[in-house]
Amino acid sequence: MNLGPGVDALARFLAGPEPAWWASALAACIVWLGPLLLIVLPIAALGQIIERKVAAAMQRRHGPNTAGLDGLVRFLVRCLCWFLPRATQERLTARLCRLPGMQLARRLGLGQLVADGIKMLGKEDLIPGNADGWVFRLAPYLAMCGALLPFAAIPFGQHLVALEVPVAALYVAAAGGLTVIALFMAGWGSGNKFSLLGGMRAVAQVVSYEIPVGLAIAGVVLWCGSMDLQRIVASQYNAHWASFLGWNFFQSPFLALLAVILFVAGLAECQRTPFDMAEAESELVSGFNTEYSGLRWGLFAMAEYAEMFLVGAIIATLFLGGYQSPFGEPAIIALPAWLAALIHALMLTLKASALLFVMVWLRWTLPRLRVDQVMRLCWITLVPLALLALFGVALTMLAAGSVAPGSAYGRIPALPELHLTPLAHALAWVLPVAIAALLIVLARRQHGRLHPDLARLSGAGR
Amino acid sequence: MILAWINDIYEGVASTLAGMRLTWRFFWENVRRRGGATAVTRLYPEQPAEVVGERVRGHLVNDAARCIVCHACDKACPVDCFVMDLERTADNKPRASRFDIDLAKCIYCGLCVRACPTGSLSMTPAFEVEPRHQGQPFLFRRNSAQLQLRLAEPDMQRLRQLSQLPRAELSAEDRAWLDSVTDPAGEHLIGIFGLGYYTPEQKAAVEAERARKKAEAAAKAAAAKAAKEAAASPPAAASAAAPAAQASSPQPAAPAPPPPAS
Repeated sequence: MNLGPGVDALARFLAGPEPAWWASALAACIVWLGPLLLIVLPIAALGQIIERKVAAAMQRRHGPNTAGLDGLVRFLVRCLCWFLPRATQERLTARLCRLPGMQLARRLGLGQLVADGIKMLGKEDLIPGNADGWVFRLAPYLAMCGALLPFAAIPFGQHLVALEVPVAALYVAAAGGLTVIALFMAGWGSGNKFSLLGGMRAVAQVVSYEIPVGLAIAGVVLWCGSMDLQRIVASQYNAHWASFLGWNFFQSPFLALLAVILFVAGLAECQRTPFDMAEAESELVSGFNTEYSGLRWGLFAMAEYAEMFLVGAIIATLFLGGYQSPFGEPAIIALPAWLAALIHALMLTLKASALLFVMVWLRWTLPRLRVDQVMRLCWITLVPLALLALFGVALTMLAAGSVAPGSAYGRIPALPELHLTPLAHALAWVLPVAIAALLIVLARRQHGRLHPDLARLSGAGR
Repeated sequence: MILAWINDIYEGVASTLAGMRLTWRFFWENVRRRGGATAVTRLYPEQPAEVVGERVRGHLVNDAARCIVCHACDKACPVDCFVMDLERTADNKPRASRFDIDLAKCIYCGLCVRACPTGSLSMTPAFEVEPRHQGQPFLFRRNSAQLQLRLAEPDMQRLRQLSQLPRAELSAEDRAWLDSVTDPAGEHLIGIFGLGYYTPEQKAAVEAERARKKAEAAAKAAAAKAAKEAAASPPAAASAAAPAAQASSPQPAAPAPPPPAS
C-alpha cells in the first residue's frame, strides 16, 4: 500500500517488509493523528493561557497566577504511590511541589487549564427547546474538523507530513473553509435570531476573505511553481543563502506584502478580535456561541485556537521557510533523521506560535470593526492590494528571466526553481520599495488628511 | 483617488503600528519586571488590601444606643436580613432587646442606612472580615464582622469561647464582660447568626417566630377578605368574622424566644 513514506516506514517497522493491512491502518492512524494530537491540541489549549497572560500583561494586570499544578501532583502521587504510607506520600508531594518548575507553573497559571477543562466537562449541556437538534449538535465537531483537517497536509518535517497530496495548498484552503459551514450551522441550529445573525455575519465575512487568502496562496504557488507544500518549503531552501534570506518572505517585497495580506485575512477567517463581529457580545450577545455550553462551547473555543495556530502554520509554511531553521539548516539536515524531524517540528511550532502571539497582540490592541468596515477592508483594500502584489510577483519572475511569458500554463512541476542572484535579489527589493515609498510620500503630501470621498464613505465626517 | 487610497492604507497601517507599540510597551514592562510588578491590580489575599475611600459600603453597624427599633430598615431591606425585638426602658424609651444582622444574607446595598431615621445604622469602610484568620481561608468565616470592628483579637477569641455556652452557665464576671463588649448600653445585645452567640435552637426559634408572624398576617388577611365578602351578603357572618380577626391581631401571647439575657 502506498500511504506516504512515513506511514509505510512505520508499517514496515511494525510488521516486517510486507505489512498486513492492519499494520498499515495502525501506522496511518499514528502518523496522521500523531502531529495533531502531539502538537495541535496542546497548542490549542496553551493558546488560551498565552491569550490570558499576554492580555493581562498588556493591560497591566497579573492574569491567572494562583492555580499551579500542586493539586494535580498530589492527586497523581496518591494514585501512583497508593502503596506508600500517607506521610511518605505527603513528603513526596511536598518535595515535588518544591521543584523550580512548579513555581513557574503557578506563576503562569497552568493549573487553570486543568481547572477549566474540569469545569467545562462538569457543566450542563443545554440544548434550546426550539433548536434544530442535529444541526446544533453537529456544529462544534464540524468546527473542530475544519480546524484540524488542514493540518494533515502541512509538513512538520521532511517526512513528517500525514497526507502528501500534490495540491496541498488547495487542500488546505478548501478544508479550512469547512469552519464557515460549522459556524453557520451553529447560528442556524440554535434557533435564536442573535445566533442566526452572528452565523450570517460569519459567512459573509469568511467568504469575502477567502479571496485575499486565495490570491496570497496563488502568489506563492506562482513563485515556487508548485502547489505541493513540501516542494514549496523545499524551494525556500536556497543554496545561495542557506539561511532565512532564502525564505519567500525575504525574496520579494510583493511576497512579503502577500504574507501580510494572508495574515490579516487569516485573522478575519478565525473571527479574531478586530474582525469578530460574528460574536460581538455588545450587539449579538455572543453570536453563534450564545446557546452553547459545556463541552460543545469548549470545542468551539479549542477550534478557534487551533485555527489561529493553523493560520500561523500556513503562513510559516508558505512564506517563512516552513519547518526550516533560520540558521544552520545544512547542519540540521545532516543530523540523524529523527533528530532533524524533531528540530523541524519544533521550528514550525515556534514560528506558528510567534504568529499566534502577534494575533493575540493585535487582539488586545485594536477595537472591533464595524460590519461595513470589515467588508470595506476586504474589498477596497486587501483584494486590490493582493492583485497588485500578484502582478508584481509575476513581473519580478519575468524580469528575472526564469520563465517565458505564458509558460505558467504549461506543466507546472517542470518549471525551473527560481534562484535570484544577490544583485537581482537586491534589485527586486529596492525597486518596488522605492516606488512604493515615492507613492506614499506623494499621497501624504496631497492627502495628508483623509480624502473627502473616503471620509464620506467611512462616515468619518459625521 | 489612487493617492487617496494609498494614503488611507498608510494611515491604517501607521495607526495600527502605533497602537501595537503602546501595548508592546506595557507587555514588555510587565514581563521584564518578573510578572506583573508594574501591574496596577493587587493580589488581594497575599498583598494587603486598601480601603479605597471613605464612602465605600463596607460592613453594616448599628449603634444600639440610638436605635429606636422602628423597623424602617427591616422594611427597606430587600433580603430580610434583620431580626429585631423591641423593649422599653424604665423611662419608657424604646430600645432593641435584640438586633441581628444576618451577614450571610446582607447584600450591602445600603438601603437600610438611608431608611434609618435616627442615624444609628451606618456602613463602615471596613470590608475585610477575617483575613486569613488562623490560617483558615478567609472567605468562609464571615459572620463575626460586626464585632470584629469593635474588638481586638484576644477579646474576639474570648467572645467566641463564651458564646458557645448557654448564658446561664456563665460566671457573673463573664456575663458582665460579655454585656459590656457586645453593647455599651448594657442588657441588650447585638448578636449575629452564625457566630454561635445564639445557639441553633435559639436561631430556629427566631425563624419559627418569624414564620408564625407571617402565617398570622396571612390568616388576618384571609379573615379580612372573608369579612369583606361576608359584608356583601349576610351581616351575621360578618359579625362572626370580625372578632376572629381581632383576636389574631394583638401581640402574640407566647413570649418571643428568649434572648440570651433571659
